[in-house]
Amino acid sequence: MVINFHRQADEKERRIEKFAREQWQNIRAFLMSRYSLSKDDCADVFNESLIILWNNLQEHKVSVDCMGTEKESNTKYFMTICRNKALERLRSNKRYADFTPQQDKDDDTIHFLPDKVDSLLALDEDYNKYQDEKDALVNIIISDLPPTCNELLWGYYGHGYSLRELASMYNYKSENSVKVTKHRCAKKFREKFNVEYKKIIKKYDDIYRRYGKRKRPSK
Amino acid sequence: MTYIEDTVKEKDLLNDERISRYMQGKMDVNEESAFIEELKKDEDLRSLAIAQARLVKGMKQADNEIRTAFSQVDENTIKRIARNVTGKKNLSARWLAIAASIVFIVFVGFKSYDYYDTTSLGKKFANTFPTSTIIRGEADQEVETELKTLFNNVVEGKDLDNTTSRLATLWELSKQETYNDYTNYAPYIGWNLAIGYLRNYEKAKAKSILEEMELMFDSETAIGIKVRELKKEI
Repeated sequence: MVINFHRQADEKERRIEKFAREQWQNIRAFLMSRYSLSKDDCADVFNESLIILWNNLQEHKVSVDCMGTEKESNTKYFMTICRNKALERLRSNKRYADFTPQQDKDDDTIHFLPDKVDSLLALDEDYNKYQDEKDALVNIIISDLPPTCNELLWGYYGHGYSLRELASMYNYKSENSVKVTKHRCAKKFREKFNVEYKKIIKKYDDIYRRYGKRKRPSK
Repeated sequence: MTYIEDTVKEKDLLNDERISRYMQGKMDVNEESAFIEELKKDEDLRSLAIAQARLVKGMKQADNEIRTAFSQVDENTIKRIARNVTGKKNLSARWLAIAASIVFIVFVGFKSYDYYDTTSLGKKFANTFPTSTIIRGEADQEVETELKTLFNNVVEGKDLDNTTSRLATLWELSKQETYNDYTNYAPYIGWNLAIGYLRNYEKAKAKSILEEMELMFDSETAIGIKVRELKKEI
């Protein structure tokens, strides 16, 4: 029981650390280029912001829309906290007194509506079958995407960044280049999902054939 | 062939945009119903729409898992993770590290000074009783040869671990109440043992021997005078 508790605690910490490491790469680059902060100041902003994120999540201060779902992804919400912290530091620090930060452009966050997303998923002919396996499969694929697809697919579908924002964040020549690369990545995701899903179906079919039972492992 | 398959057509990009607009609820009623009809008929469009919906749902789930993880750890864990990730220690830890370094340097400095001081003292007193004046070839030759070697080792600072170990044994023998080969040499065995310990930077052991000798030899004897003098200097 004690071992199990430690394993669960490790898993939570591992998940948070993975999230924090991904954020640190992007946030550091963003704060250095946008606000010309030193590496040391970036680290201070990041450390303070991570505690604020933790605190706000503990106190359920994260804003939700009329459907009760969070308006922003963790990444985007964390970026907002970091940006505010950086501006606070710029205002209070004499070293940056002469610095005028670039104006942040209007927010054009993409919000996907859960009911619309569900209605598309319902078009799947296997919609009611192997739901847990499908979720697990998606989870595995999206946690191991190639770097470019990781940036664009997570950026667009996960964090709701617009094509314009993605083009600027990842130095694409135009929004159109982002569209093309994102399309290829989505297609690759679809192909990988279908290949792996077929393997799961085959595995279950083999089991059913061997034991002569036709019982679904999950709904 | 691969190139043709990999070519992204204008229609593909348009479809991506339509799928995205549908998921955002940005289509009007007519456009939406037309799109749904098209999804039913066009297998490729449907499969791409489902794949994109899977991405949105899967990423939302992963995001929720991170939120859950955040809500189940304490502030210290978050601080530790943040420090690990940015590689920046907090101020108190940094000062603590600096203070520890200073203490360490002072400690090493003190130890180095103490080592030099103790071993020098051993060197200074090493020739107080020259081996030639102690070993005169009057007793058992084997005993004298061994003592000569051991005393010379102390003077020269050679093989001190083994030398002090053997001298400690002989010191115990020489103190025995029954007369033996080493009884007459007891003052010099004890003296050389104390000096050997000093040269080997074993101050406490040297002190202990000198304290024993102080009780054995009164302050009027040559050895008693030197024992007290050396003990005072330690």
